[in-house]
Amino acid sequence: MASLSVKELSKNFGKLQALNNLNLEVEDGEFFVVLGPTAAGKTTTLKCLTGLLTPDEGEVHMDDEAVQALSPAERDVALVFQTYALYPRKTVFENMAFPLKARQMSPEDIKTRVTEIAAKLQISPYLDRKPAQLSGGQQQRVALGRAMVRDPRIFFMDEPLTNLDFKLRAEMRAELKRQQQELGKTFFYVTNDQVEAMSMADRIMVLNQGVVQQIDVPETIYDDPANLFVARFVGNPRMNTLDCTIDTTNNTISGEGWRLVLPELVEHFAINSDNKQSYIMGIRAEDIRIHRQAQDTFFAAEIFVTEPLGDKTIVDISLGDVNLKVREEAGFDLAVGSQVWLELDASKIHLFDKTTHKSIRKANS
Amino acid sequence: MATVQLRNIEKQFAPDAIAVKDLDLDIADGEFLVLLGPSGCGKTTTLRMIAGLETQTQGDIHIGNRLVNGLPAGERDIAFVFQFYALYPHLSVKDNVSFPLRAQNISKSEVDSRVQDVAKRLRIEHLLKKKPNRLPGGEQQRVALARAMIRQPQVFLMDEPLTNLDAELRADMRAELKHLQHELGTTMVYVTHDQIEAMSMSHRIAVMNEGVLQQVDTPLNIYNKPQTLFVATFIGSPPMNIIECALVTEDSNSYLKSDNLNYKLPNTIDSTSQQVYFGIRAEDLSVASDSTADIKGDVILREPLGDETLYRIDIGSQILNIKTSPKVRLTIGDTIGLNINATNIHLFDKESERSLLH
Repeated sequence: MASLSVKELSKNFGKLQALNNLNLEVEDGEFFVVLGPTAAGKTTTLKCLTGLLTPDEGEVHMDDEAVQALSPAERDVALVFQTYALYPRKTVFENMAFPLKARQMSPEDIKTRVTEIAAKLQISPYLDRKPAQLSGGQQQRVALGRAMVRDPRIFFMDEPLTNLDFKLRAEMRAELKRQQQELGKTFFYVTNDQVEAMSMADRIMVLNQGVVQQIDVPETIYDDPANLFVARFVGNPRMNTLDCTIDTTNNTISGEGWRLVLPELVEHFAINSDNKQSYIMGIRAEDIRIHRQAQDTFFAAEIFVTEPLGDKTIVDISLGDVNLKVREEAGFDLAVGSQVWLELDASKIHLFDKTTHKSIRKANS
Repeated sequence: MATVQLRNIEKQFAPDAIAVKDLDLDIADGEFLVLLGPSGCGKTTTLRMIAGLETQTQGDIHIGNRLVNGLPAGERDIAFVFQFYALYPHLSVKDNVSFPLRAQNISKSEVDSRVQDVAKRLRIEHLLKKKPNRLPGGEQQRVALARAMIRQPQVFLMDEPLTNLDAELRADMRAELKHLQHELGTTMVYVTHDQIEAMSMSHRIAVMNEGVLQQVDTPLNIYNKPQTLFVATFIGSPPMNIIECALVTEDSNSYLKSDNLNYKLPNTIDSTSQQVYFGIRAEDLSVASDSTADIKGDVILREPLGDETLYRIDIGSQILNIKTSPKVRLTIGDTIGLNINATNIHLFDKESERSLLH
């Protein structure tokens, strides 16, 4: 087990800056997830930490040991790529024994170690089988078992669930998180899937274009995103965003086709009292209510389409040229083109600076 | 626009390889029907038989009032869309959209008016002269959708057209496609293995498994009143919890009994089934105080998703999924009680796996 500390890490590939001044601390036993789109720098980060790439600048410590000068093997970490990277012709036992054989451990010791780990992962009955004879979940455990036999300090995982189908992926998510909780090992997990990140992580680091956007617990990433990128990358459906103008002389927030008087909004956000300023407003689908009658604080819009999902309904609303997504109860249904009125939960409105895209934090928090 | 009628359709690729068995399906004029199922269920074969790309071994297919058995694909007046392919970067939006009409003998003024019409419906009129690679992703996809739907066939047939798009674009395109189909009113048969696409876009879903049609119904009925165990567990995320129980009648009340459950059903079930699968969705289990709990278990995992939170509860014999508001905070390791939402119970006979309720 080990903690991990990264200071001022940078990596360039020629003129391309893949990582720019990355700083992070992972605690012993933490499930830490790096989340970002393609080319965010996630895999480069993982490779720099495991020693597969040499960073241009920066320090990496595991526990209190500086590891920059160590080879991947000397760092004593495990790398798990995709689930199915097992040797198909070898038995489960042989797959799990492989890393130990490579280290020339005696056959008796190998047997003891593999048996012990197999019991822990509840795969003891399958040791003589070939991977193809196992379910996806069992294969996942074998892959993890192969990494565990060496008792590495940290498990590094690069999108291990990517090639699984939707259902198996949900199962594997839960299984992996439970195993991590039971083992108490430090996991450093890379993914582009925000559902995986939200559901598994103790903390998430959102990365984009080589720059850290935010590091925090899943709930804070979702409820209080630091910038527009995080706001729109995390959450399904993604956060609705609208160009808006705030006029402090009459406490209004408005955009094309809509206008709200919200005195508390102007009080709650750290905005200066110049008369008119432009921002980007963000509001999540579950923080909008649809009404069939007008009220002063509502604004008019039109049903574009309704999408029943069984446990809830996603309603697409057209507001001028923009479409909004609203989460409604299961069974909600209105015809395409119906006029409706929208109510926003003012306490759940996010404001982002138009230039920097940073969140305009609430004044009192 | 037209109806599509499948009667006693069978498709056999080899003596022991029956892809589609005894399929009857009536698709209404203007309907958006989704064929849903896992890979190998026969959904694509069915679509290809409607298109004329495969010939059924047995049975009749009507499009409109026309029997189309033996008619080649080109004479069926259908448009088959595989994927919303990448746009031609060197052509303008207008030329991209009108591309499928090139091979047909359609006058220039007719082409122009069709392009205008579909562009208006998809809000891309102002983009017609631009090159597609200058446009943001969402607008590019609307152009691709316009190109796919510029023809005016009797029926659109689509085979997983959204598969290769990223999650965000896919969500947008679902809404656009559903809206456009509503506007055009053209009959649509759409194949997918993605239950979210099926639920969100269709008028009705035909669920298939191993070549056999399981159920044809509206999305909400498929979700709320599944007729087979397969439909129940295929639709919904997380999948429906299934508990194997004995169905017992005592004092004219029906009970579900297993090692961890002794639950009185709200209505007496008149059935000869003794062993049943009891199904309950994650959102139909709620956290209860100990004294009123229907089931007890230990919290073993928490999965926050932002707008809702999933928990896994170990009830001894198995693990149940529950779905709660993000405000509910349970502690890993705690023993909690669960209440069953009695109005949303599902029961399936263990042998036939058919619903005893719906």
